[in-house]
Amino acid sequence: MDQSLDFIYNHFRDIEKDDLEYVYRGQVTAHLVMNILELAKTNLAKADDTRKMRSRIYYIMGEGLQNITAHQAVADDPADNSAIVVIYKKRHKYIIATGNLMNRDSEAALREKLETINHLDAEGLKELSRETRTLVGFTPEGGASLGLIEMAKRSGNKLDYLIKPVDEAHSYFYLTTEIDISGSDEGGGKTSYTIQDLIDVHENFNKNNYNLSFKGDFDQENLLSLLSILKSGMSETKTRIKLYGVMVELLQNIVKHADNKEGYTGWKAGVFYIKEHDDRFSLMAGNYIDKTKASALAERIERIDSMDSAGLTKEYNKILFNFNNDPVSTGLGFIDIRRKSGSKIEYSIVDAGNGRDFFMAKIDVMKVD
Amino acid sequence: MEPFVKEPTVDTPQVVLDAEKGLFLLARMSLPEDAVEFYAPIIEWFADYCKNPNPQTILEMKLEYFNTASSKQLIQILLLLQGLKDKSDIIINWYYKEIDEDMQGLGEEYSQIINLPFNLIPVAKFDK
Repeated sequence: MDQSLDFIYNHFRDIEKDDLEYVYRGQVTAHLVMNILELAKTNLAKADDTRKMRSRIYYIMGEGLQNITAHQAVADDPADNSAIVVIYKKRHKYIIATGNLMNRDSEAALREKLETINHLDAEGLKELSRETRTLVGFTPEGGASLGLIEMAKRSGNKLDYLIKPVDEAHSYFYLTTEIDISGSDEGGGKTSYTIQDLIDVHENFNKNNYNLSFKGDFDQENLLSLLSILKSGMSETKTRIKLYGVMVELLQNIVKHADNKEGYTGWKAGVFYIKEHDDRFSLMAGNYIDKTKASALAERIERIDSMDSAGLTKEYNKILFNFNNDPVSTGLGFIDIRRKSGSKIEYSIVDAGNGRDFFMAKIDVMKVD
Repeated sequence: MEPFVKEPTVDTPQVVLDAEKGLFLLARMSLPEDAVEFYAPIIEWFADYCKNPNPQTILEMKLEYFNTASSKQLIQILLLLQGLKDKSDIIINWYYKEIDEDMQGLGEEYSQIINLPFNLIPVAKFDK
């Protein structure tokens, strides 16, 4: 057992139904934007409380993400180049938070735009939106301004931002937009996700070299979105093929075997991280399990971890021909993970109260290209 | 017999089974949430085909990826064909992306555990 995995549970345990936290760090391409929006759309469609706001939230996310692809700059140090995207839902707030590198010579103009937007009321924003629309066709900046104006107008909130110098020529532009879906004024109080939260996440992701994290409901649709995001964020290499295969088995394992969080029937809360090292990627996942199943699971992983490659092949073939046709469990998932990754499965199981445990696993996939 | 044709989705393969035209194809991605349910009619089709097969059966396996749940279903199809050896010339064309060691390895393994001629065919990429 690996105690060091327990941080996963600590980051996770406060999750409530329909909460979602998705973080991506890396290059943002048009294709990736499409995939992130797809993920957001799937989850919006599932949450009970967003019915009226879905198209608005979707629109604001689209504007925020396209803003990055249109304006991200490229620095000399590749470490500074990664953009950060956070989609966060907690109770009745939806937050879209982004950070990207920009050229410092555009800084003053951007600041002025944002200040203008933030000083206008709803009526003023409507007016500015109309004026800017007529200019869009004529200036390249028009489109960007319109995006920001629309985000402010449709969210009904100020655009919270921070511009942080990175080097002589570049700054980092952080922007958060909050959408209140409670439909009442009461919900409009305290901001649940601040610019500082975004900067903290960015620093944490940079320091630990996380590429992606997802905290929310694990079903087949979310699994497919995460796989698409992996595919669009990385070119096709031997390593990506292995990551893809391990990720499918690891996450379908959650989709099929996870227990729901207490009190939330049918909602399979889980968490997933991709972390990059110089020589390998680590995939980490966590989910609730029924306490009575924990010892059998631990035993099974220990047994598979103890096998060498010949032993794994033998076990794989044995189970392959065992046609019990159990739709839930093939018995091959962990063996396949071991065979594809070439690493042992590190795991940890902690007590999560009320007859549940929380199961965490980490798999290293070596870079082979 | 009636052909069985299914368009591909993000998590289920393209399937073309047409005895009259001599087409037997599985292509693209296979990671359905419920592989047993997805493959049941396909296995049923092959079981039917076995009753009155063509003199030659070439199964084109052009799967880019299949999950472990699918592998248990695919092996059942291969076993059905193995049982047909005396009635039909069976060939399994197992395509894999040349950089995909895992699909290559699975093809090699399956060719050893299934008693049928396998052609392992590397491709630079699959047609879309």
